[in-house]
Amino acid sequence: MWTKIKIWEIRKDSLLSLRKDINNRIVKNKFNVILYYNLIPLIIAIIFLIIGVTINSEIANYFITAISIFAGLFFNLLLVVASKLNERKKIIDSNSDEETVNYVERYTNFSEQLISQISYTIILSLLLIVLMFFIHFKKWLPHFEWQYLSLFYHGLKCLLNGIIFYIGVQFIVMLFVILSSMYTMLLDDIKIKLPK
Amino acid sequence: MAHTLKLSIYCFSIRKGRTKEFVGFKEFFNNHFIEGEEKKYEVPKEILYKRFADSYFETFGDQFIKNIDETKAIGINTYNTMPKLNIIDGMVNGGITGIDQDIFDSSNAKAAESTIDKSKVTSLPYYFKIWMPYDSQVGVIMVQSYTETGVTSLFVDKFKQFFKTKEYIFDFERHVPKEFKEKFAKKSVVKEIALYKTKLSAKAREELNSLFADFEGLKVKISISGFKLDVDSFKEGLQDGRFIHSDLAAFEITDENEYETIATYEDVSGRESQAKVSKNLDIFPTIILNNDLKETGKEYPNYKKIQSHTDAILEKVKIDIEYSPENVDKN
Repeated sequence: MWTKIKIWEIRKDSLLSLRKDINNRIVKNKFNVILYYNLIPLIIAIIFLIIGVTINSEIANYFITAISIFAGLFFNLLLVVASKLNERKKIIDSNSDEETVNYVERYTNFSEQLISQISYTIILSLLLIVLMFFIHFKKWLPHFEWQYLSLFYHGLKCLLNGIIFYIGVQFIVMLFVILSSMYTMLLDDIKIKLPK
Repeated sequence: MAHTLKLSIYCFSIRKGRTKEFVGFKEFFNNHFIEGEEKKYEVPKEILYKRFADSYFETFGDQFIKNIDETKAIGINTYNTMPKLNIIDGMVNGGITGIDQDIFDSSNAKAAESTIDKSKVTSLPYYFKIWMPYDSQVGVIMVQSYTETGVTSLFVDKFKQFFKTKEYIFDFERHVPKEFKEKFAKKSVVKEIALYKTKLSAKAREELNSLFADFEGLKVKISISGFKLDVDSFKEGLQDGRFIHSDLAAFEITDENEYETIATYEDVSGRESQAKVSKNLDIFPTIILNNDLKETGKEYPNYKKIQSHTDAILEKVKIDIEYSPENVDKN
C-alpha cells in the first residue's frame, strides 16, 4: 500500500471525530453517526430514486461548478484553521496556567477534528465531481438497439444517480458539521485575547 | 510491620446560600478577595490565590483546631500555593486529644513512663492538597492518612466551615479515580453481601414479632457471607441492581429503591472495601499509597514525594471529572 495516500485514514479520523468531544473522548454512540451519516442519506437517495429524480448533464454541470467552488474554499479553510491554532499555541508562551494549557489542548483537539472533517469533505467533493462526470457516460458507450443493453444502461444510470444522491447528502451533512465548527471557532475568536 | 499511608479524595463545589447554582472559583475569588479600589477580574490570579490561602490558614492561627467532640485536633504546619496549577498544598499536624494517654516502653506493659495530658495533642504529619481550578466549579481535596489513624474528616470539615463563614454551601463527595476502581475490581473478590432496610411498616413489625410493633426505628440487616466471588461473576448474579433473589417480602425488601445492598470486597492483600450495589456497581476502594513515599527511616510521608505522587493522581481525577482533555501534557 502506498502510504502517501491516506484517504482511508482521513475517512476513519473524520468519522470518528463526529463521535468525539473537544476533550477527545468518544461521547456519541456509533448509532448516532450511522443514523445521520449513513441512514438518512440512504433514505433520501432511495426516496429520490423512487420519485424519479435524475441528474441530467446540465444539472450535473451546475453541481460540478458548485462543488468545485466549495472544494476550493475548503482547501483555504484548512490553512485558516491551522493558522488560528498556531496563534493560540503562542498564548502558552506568555501564560502557562493550567486552564490556558487545557484551553490550547482543547483547541488543538477541535482543530484536529475540524481538519479531518474538512479533508474528508474535500475527498467527498472530488468523488462527487468524478461521479457527476460519469452522468455523461451514455454518450461515450457504444450504442446498440438491444433491449437488454438499454435495460442495463438504465440500471447503471439509476445506480449512479443513487450513489450521487447518497454521497451528495453525506456531503451536505459534513457541510453542516463544518459550518457548526466554524461558528464555534469564530465565536471563540471574538472572546479570546491573543498575545500581541 | 509498618504503617500504611492512605489517601482520601473528595470532589467539592460551592453554592451561594440556598441556590442550586454552583459558583465558579474565579467568581468566588473575585467576590471575596478583592481589596480597596481593586476591580473585579483585574487582580492577577496569583494574588487572589495567595489571599485565599492566607485567609483560610489564618483561621487556624498558631493553635490546634479541635473537632466538635474534642477528640481530634489539627494545626497547620506548612502550606504552599501554586496558582499556575490551581493547587494549594502542605502539611498539617494532627491527632488525638481530649484523653489522658500513658506512655509505655514496649518491653514493659506494667509501668507507664509518663502521661500525656488530655489537653495535649499527640500529633502526626498529614499531607493535604486542595485543587480549585480558576475556570471550573468543581474542586478536589486530597488528604493523606494512616491506616490506623487520620484527620481527614476534621480537615474537610474545617474547609467546609471556611466557606460557611462566607455564606456558601459546601457540597462534597468521595471520589476514587476510575483507574483505581478498575484495578481493584480486577484483583478483588466479593465476600459479603448485606441488605439494609431502615423503615418497616407497623404491620411488618407486628408480623415479625408483636414486641417490635411500637419500635418505629426498627432496622433489618440481612448479611450473607461464607462465599467468594470475583467481580465479573458477582455482576452476572445481579438483576436490575438486585443480588438476593429470595422472597423477603416479610421484611418489605421487595422494591430495590427501598433498601440498600452493600457488598464487601477484599483485595489480594486482604484489604476490605465496601460499596453500595447499584446497576453500575460503583466501588470506592481505599487508595493505598506506596511505602516509598515515606520519609527515609520514618513512617510519615516525604512532602516532595507525596506531592508529585498526588499530582499524578490529581491528573487522573481531572480526566474523570472531565476537566482535562485526555491527551493534555502539563509539562
